Amino acid sequence: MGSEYDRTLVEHYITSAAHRVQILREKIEDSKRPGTASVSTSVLSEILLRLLSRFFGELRSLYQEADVEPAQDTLRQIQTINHVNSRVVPPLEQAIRMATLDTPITPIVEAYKEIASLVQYGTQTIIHPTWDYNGSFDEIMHVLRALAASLGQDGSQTIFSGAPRSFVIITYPLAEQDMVLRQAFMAHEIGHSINVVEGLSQELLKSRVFDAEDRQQIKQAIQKQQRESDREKLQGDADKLAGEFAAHWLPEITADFLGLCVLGPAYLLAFDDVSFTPRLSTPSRLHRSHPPVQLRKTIMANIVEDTFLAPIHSNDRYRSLSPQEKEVFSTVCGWIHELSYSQPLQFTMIESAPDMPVEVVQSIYVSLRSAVERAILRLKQKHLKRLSESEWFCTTTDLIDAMELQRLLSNGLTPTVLYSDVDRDPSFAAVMNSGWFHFLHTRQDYQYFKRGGEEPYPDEVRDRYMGLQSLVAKAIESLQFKKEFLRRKGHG
Amino acid sequence: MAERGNILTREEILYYLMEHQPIEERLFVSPLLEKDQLGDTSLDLRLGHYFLVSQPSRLGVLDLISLHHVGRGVLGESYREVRVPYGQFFTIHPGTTVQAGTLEYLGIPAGLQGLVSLRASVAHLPISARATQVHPGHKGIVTLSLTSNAQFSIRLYPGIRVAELQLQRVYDTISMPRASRYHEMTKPVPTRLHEDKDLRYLGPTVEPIIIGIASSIAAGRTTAVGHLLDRHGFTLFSLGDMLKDEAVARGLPIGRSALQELGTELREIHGNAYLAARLRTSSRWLSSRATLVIVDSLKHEDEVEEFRKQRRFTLLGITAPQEKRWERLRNRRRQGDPESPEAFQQQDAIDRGLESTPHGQEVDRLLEIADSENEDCLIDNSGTVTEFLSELDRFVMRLLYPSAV
Repeated sequence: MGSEYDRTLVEHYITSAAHRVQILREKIEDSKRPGTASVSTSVLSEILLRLLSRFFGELRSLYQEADVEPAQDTLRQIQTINHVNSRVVPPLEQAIRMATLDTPITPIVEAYKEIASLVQYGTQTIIHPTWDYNGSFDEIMHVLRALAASLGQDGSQTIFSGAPRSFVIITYPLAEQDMVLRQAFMAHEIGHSINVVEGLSQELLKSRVFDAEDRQQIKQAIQKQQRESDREKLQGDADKLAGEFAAHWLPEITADFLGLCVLGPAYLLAFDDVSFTPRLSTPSRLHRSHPPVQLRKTIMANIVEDTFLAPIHSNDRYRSLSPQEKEVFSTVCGWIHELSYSQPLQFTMIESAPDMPVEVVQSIYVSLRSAVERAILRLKQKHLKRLSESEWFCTTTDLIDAMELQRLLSNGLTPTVLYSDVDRDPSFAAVMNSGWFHFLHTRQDYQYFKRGGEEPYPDEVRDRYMGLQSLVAKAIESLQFKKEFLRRKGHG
Repeated sequence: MAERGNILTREEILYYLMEHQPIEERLFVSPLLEKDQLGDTSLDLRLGHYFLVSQPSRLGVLDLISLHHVGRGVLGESYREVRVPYGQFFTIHPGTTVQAGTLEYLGIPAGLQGLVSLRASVAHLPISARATQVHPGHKGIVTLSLTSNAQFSIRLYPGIRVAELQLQRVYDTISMPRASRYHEMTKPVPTRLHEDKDLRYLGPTVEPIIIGIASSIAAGRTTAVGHLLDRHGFTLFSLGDMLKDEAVARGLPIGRSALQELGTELREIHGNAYLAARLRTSSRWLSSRATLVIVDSLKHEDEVEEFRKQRRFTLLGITAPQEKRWERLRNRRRQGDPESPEAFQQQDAIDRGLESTPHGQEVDRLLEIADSENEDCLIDNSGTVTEFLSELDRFVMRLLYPSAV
């Protein structure tokens, strides 16, 4: 004896055996009361009890020989177990499984979990749908409570200690479940996960990307204010706000950068599609939580052009693509290029400081914009090459694969077979990008959806769009199935 | 020279999978998990993740003739889709039938056709399925109709090899195979038998359901008509088109003002219900076997009364505030539309019957009737298109299934 499995088994056995003995003892005591039982029954019961006690005693001594402290509650076991035997399912895993039992297991969710597992070894990712687009905390409370309960902690807290591994919970809106191409947007959340491990935005904050020159701009705008008594307070408020905004914006822009690293142009195109919803764009107001949508798009489009599209031109395999496949690339370059242009943005209000003068608001924005651009430059210079060697990085090969796969989509087939190399399966990034490339290439359909007005689009456009979603979903599902099958076959 | 057989051998299947040119005409099978799925003259297919099971619904009796009335919505309620993840099972109970999709997505070239049947090993179980033909040009999964004849339940796992595909040559390659209704399906779907156009010629004669539409200018009539035609399968008869044809035959312009004048003239000479009566006695109307009919562009109360001689007539009124209608008119820029607010107001007043011309249009009166009577309906199209179309759908559902809605 001595393995954790054995310890658990014995402990469980002893607990249940002890319980059974207790019941028997009580029954026997009852039978000894005058008039309740015959003599022969009580004698037999005594014999049985003695035998059981001896057996129980022997078990207890075996338990002591194993030098194991009998744990009265299994929760303590979790904290002391470092290696979990695969034959034993700890309560924590069961708790998570039960809490997420009713969540739809879609192939795209499985694909993201796989990417997340590549990013964070030993960390469990839970991807959970919510009703609301903003992913209200209440909607994942049952998952948090299950985690807390298995750790013996208060379920209303959001910080747990003593868990054997760390967790990431990513939510996505249930309404988008069938909109597979739009779910490329989830790469942003994966970007946050990567950032937690890599600490990139922390590094940016420490390196003071928001520097003295930026502050000078704000100071100048404040100096122009008329009342001196106002200026001092304004300076303090502005500095504080700028600092807070930088602290929030930098992780977001880092997540965008990393989202692009995971999925390439598909992430930007999904972002553009999702952000087209008017609710997400409030042009004249600066929000603390996220940089302005238009700024993010412009920055991302520039990254896509430099990092992902430019190297393709000189790639030998690209040169050997058919004219139709190359035409797709031209279309994509055109769309991305359009996104890289932006009008100068004007902001008139900060949501948390509605009385701040317009000139100061605008100067804060201009300073933050410089900081963000500097941050991206730093990320590219310092980390891009290293990140590009990661298993989860979207490569030039993936994008050229996507152009090839688009040809299958245009023929009503799932984008799963690379005829240029049939022994290699396309990556998740290649499949998602092929879907977006195909959508852009069927420009007329894309324009219907981008118009965003009240005019209804013909049924055949809607059917083609939903058909594309289901082909891409089927592709992801097929590739996931094949991966799992071959993985099990390899181990079997 | 040795004659080639009709059924493809293993080598031929491999050729079509890997080497046939152009790529778009290759045999496509994805995912192909193992090469030994290829037999001597067949290819094993696996069970996919999706199952379609029937369930209780509003559909008490499935009448195949009236299936095209029922349409997608109610039929869809009668089925439930179940997705089974990798490693988990689907249980098929004794005596039940389920639709199961294959894991593999197929693309069959124009020169081949296929037959999918149960594998021998599965056929030896108490499970049966009819053989399914896969046509030239087919793209999508194959749906198997599995029936359990067992006395016990059977667990099915995604990935199990359940069927085999045999491929045959089509001797005259079909240059442009017609896409079937189940084209590019990635999971099993309910039947689309209701799309058979000849269903309406079979079964008992049915008095058609007629919706007469009266609408203010630019209130959304065209959108409504389009929706009823496309989504609900109505057939259109338009009094407005009849008037235009009459104008063209007389060499008159077909702008709105000219048509308003012509309409008034015809009513004055021949009676207020002239156009309606002419339509009801036309050969097109009499020979029509349509069971769902729209009569568009009603302009006078007597026209409504003419159509009320049909047993199942309902008046639908569509309106919106004048400012909203002018805004839409200005944005759509259709030929013949008024170019100034004054011109619009003048045409609108005539259309609505505000000018008190004895035989003129009186759309306002029709909207009042639509608003006041039980089965008739008035829709205010001031909101978004989506809201408008939802209102229309509700109106149609109330009309077709009064006890269900």
